[in-house]
Amino acid sequence: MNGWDMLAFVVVVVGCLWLRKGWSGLSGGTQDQADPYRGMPSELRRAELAYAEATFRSARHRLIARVDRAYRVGDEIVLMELKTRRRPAANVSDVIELSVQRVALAHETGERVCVWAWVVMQSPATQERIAVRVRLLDEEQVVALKARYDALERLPMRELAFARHRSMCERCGHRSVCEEATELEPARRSSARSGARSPKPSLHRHPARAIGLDVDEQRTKP
Amino acid sequence: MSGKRDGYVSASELARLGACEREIVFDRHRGTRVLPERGAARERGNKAHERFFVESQAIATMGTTRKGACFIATAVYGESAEETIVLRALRDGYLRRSVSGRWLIGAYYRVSRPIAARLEPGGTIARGLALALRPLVRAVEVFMREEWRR
Repeated sequence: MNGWDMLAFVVVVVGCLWLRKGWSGLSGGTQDQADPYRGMPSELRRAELAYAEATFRSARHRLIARVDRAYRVGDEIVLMELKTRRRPAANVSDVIELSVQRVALAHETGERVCVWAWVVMQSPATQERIAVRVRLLDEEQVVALKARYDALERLPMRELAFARHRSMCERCGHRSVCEEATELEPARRSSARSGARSPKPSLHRHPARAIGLDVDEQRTKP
Repeated sequence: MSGKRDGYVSASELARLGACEREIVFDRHRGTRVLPERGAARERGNKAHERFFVESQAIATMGTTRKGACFIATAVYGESAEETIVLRALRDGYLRRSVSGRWLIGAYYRVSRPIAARLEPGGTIARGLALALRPLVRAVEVFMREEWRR
């Protein structure tokens, strides 16, 4: 083993140890379970809590949203959503949910809602929390997603996006039916007839990507 | 159609587009099929949200103590009295949500400041006002409990 191999080995070992740290590594150590501010971003610790568990509606777009928390920071409202997660990472669904909340709250109250929001993730094992800041969609993008949702029923199965991760399929109650439907798709049948290998569902063929959406996140400092 | 309430689509339902579109369609056609693992995760999430809500109430109470006083209530009941906290909750948890509510708060502050200045804490007028306002405070308390849970 030469010097470079040794260095690569050390890097891999350190990387694995870092990944194993998981929640405790990210949340900055042990948190006091009785502290309601644990894991909260510093900019919201002194902010006014404007709404909690409140429901808002956008009559214009026929959208309804329940807000976990919303803070008043200056002349803007900053949204916060709680999620219990094994892996402390925000995802596209969080961004969509908070974006709908943003539109509904703005329409019902007339208040300005910040384009950045916080996803507070709580470990199911240790109850530790960390907050991740995400950039939300604008109203046009939310309207486009609503139109897509309304159209799902009319789209052929091959046009519908698969789960973003295979692990989600493992937890899905429709998995066997979905796999059957996938095998029955014309493109897959013809490839099967010609002996070609059936293409795997594309995890990147997703409407969220089609409108340029991805999670733009910024973690809180532990 | 599942996921719709009174023709409205909920934020959490629309967010499912970010996970799997096929599952939404299968749910509509075959009904929701929740595997035990996901059901347990949902249960954990609900419990965490209940706790989060209790913490929100604690934060709101701490926050409203820091914010401006509700003049007449403070003069009549005292700074940290339960009645004062209930009226602050009405101001911050309900009235501030609408343009007309915020206008009402502004108007109330303009009128109440000089009245509160004339009230002697513990005096006859203050005690009479405390009694007269009690049914209103109770009504607000009931209303706000419903509002928090809306």
